[in-house]
Amino acid sequence: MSFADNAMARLLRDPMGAMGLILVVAFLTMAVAAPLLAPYDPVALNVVEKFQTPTLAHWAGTDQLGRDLLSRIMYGARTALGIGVTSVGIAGLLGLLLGLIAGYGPRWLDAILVLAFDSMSSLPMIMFALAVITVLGPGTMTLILVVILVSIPGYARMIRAQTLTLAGSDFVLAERAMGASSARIILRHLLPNVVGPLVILLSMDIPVIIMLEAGLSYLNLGVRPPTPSWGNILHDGYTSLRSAPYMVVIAGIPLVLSTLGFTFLGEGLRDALDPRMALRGRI
Amino acid sequence: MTLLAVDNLSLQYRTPAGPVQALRGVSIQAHAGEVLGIMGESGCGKSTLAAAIINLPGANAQVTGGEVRYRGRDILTLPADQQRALRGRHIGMIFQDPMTAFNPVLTIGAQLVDFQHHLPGSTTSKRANAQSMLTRVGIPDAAMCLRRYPHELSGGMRQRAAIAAALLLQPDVLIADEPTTALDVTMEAQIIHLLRALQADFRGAIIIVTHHLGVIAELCDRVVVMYAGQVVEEGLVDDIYHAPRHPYTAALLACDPAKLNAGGGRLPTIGGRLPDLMHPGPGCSFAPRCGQVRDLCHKTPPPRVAVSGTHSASCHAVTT
Amino acid sequence: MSLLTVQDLGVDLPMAGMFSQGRLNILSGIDLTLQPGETLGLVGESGSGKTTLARAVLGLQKISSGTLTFCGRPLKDNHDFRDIRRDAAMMFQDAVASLSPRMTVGQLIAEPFVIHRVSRPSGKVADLLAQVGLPPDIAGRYPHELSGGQARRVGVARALALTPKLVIADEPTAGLDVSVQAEILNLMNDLKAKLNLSYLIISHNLALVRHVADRIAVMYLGRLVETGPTTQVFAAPRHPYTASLLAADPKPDPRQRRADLAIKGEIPSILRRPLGCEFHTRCPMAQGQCLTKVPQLTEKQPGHWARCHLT
Repeated sequence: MSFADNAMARLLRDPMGAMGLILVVAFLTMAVAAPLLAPYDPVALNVVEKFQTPTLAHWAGTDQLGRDLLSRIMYGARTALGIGVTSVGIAGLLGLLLGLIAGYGPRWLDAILVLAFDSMSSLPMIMFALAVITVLGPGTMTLILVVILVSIPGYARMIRAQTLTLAGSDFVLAERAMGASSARIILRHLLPNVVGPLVILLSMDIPVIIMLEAGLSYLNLGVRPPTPSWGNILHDGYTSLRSAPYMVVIAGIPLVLSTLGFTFLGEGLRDALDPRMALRGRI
Repeated sequence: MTLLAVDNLSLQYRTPAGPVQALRGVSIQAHAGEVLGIMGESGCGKSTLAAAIINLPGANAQVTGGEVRYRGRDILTLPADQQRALRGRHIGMIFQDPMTAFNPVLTIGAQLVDFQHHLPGSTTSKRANAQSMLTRVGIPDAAMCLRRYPHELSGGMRQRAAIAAALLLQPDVLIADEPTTALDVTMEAQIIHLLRALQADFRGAIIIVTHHLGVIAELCDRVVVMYAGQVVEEGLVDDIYHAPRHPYTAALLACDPAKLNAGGGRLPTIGGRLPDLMHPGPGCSFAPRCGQVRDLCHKTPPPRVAVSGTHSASCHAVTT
Repeated sequence: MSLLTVQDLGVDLPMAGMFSQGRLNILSGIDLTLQPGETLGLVGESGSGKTTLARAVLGLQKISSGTLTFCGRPLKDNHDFRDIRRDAAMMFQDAVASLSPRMTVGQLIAEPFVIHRVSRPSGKVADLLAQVGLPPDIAGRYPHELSGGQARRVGVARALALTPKLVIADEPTAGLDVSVQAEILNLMNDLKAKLNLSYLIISHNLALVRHVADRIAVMYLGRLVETGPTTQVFAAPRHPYTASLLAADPKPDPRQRRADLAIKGEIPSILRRPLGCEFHTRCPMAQGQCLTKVPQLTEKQPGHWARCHLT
């Protein structure tokens, strides 16, 4: 049994990890298959059926313009996960690359990169986000760009710290003693050892980004209406809180569940990928 | 006088795959004024035994039988606070890594004073006490050493300070677990010399736990040889090194290149590996690796045969 | 022709510190030769520079002065060192830590072939495992699943993969029990005869070095203090430091207990290197000139050199 199979088995044995995985897979399916699953067009107006509480026709009710909320939530999952996964994924990839270079590359390059990371993380995130939005205008791409810029330093620092520790370890020295090139050491020996913790960190960061998207969209600074987004639905819900309080509740449910799902998955992965746990499982 | 007696002690570690029987009916006695060596390879249970004597064998350990008696009182059944009072006060411990004996953020002086917290006297007198103990263990500038942090001392000095800490409360039993393993040859020699000098005016018992055959030969009066969680041979140091009766002891001593007088050639080896302590067989645990094995050895546990008044071995092949 | 020649080798490290430009001298004036098929034991306390020397030979540590020659070829740039890393392999003190943790034993042993782009005959991994006495199914295991002795054997197998001329072994049996140590030493001995290897063995274990080495070199504070045939050095050491080390080594025989302390004091910090003879602070024989004049390595007997004013 390989390490990966083993890790998967351990993840599923942990109830929290298994629940996280189920939730994440459910939301991903919802996002990918939204056109197939959604009962209505998420932007089709139907003013006659506005402000409906959940019915058999509209399982999650309708909004102030009579749009089907369930369909909007499904398409909203597309937006939320699209932004969350894309931005965190790209940021993670760039952070990984920069962190490895800073940790194992020449020392002068490390000094420059660390200075760059420090300057970047000294900017207050919200202020920076607002500034970029002001310059580029609100929208999905702007949001993704902001998240990438803000997240890279954190990931890169973590990867750099781990790389530095590993670079001084005997197995890296042993590889050098055998004549391995730096590229080989980075790709074959350092990368597999730093990527695990990064995956965990990324999966725990996705809900943060989903919340950020919802927050900015709620403030009308994120995804532009009428594109369905959980933040936009919340925003609509708050504007009509008096006439239709259920909207806020319904829009909140996917936010809470996806956050829990990704967090549980991250924690489950952390335990499942720990090599010492792997050892314990085998004895 | 017997200060410490371990009587038929059995201990197991719980693991997900089932209990591992780390100690199986171990009995030893440490008498006042003697240095007892506990010798064995990794996995033989010697460190578990040392930890069990002070009742700190780890959270997943469970004593399944037997007693540890200090001056006739069973330690294992005492309430937790009395056990704590016994540790340090009457039974001192020296560890392999002297760094673990000290708190890294406090000075040596502060810690040596704190170790005496349940003794009467002023802080000044306790500090003076600590200083004289540091001088006694051969630290050249003891007053300076009191003001230092653990990481500021060299490995050898730190081990001296750890010995001072263990002796501060004047225990009757001093247990040293691999006291020289982390040190260089010259430091090792100095620590051996120090322990020997201390023994001269120490009325208690010293127990040295180590895999290093040279250290035991240099220091100990009596030796207990352990294998797979059991005592296989016990005797005076000269008998163990020059007339070992258990095949394991003989094989172990023969493996050491220091034993050979000229270089080159093949070293004798034992072959095979340690038995599975999760499912120990009914017979002698050394039988699968033993050169003198007979049918009987696989089926029946070997009797403890007394070779002389001080020398005994657990082996079917040994006759008096 | 000697296999490895080290001439007047020195290693300095830049001192940490933002404004200081100091250099810390780790090794200086090291002269060593190693003949094909010979085993040289490098002995000294921690901080004597023996590991640094081994790393310098493979180019893992930049040298500040002197020359290295391997098989008659001087080693100067990275390209030369890349070649020597094919013909000289290293075994590490912590065998488990020297194995890349996410690779299987099979991948680890195949690593030298991949690195040097040498085609690997099928079944080579199993052959190498058999050569070091490991079962073929161990190829699927990960380093953390190995015992100390098994990890050592994997280290030996990896070192032998490309049939090197020289194996550098840093504390080849550190942390092993005596019975396992004996197995590893026998294995190294058998392989040496079979493959005509040369060993550079670094150890503080004198009994081990006496057992395996043809010649020994004793280091103290980054200097070579004595070198010569093992039997001669052990029988009649010509440097008081060697004599003290030999006297300090505990013998596994209660009838040969040491009467007195063999060596006093501690190895000084290289930050405060003693003037004159480096060893004078601990030397039982030190006299006036030892405090001021640096002794040179002189040939006391044919092939037996020592750095001492007195012997």
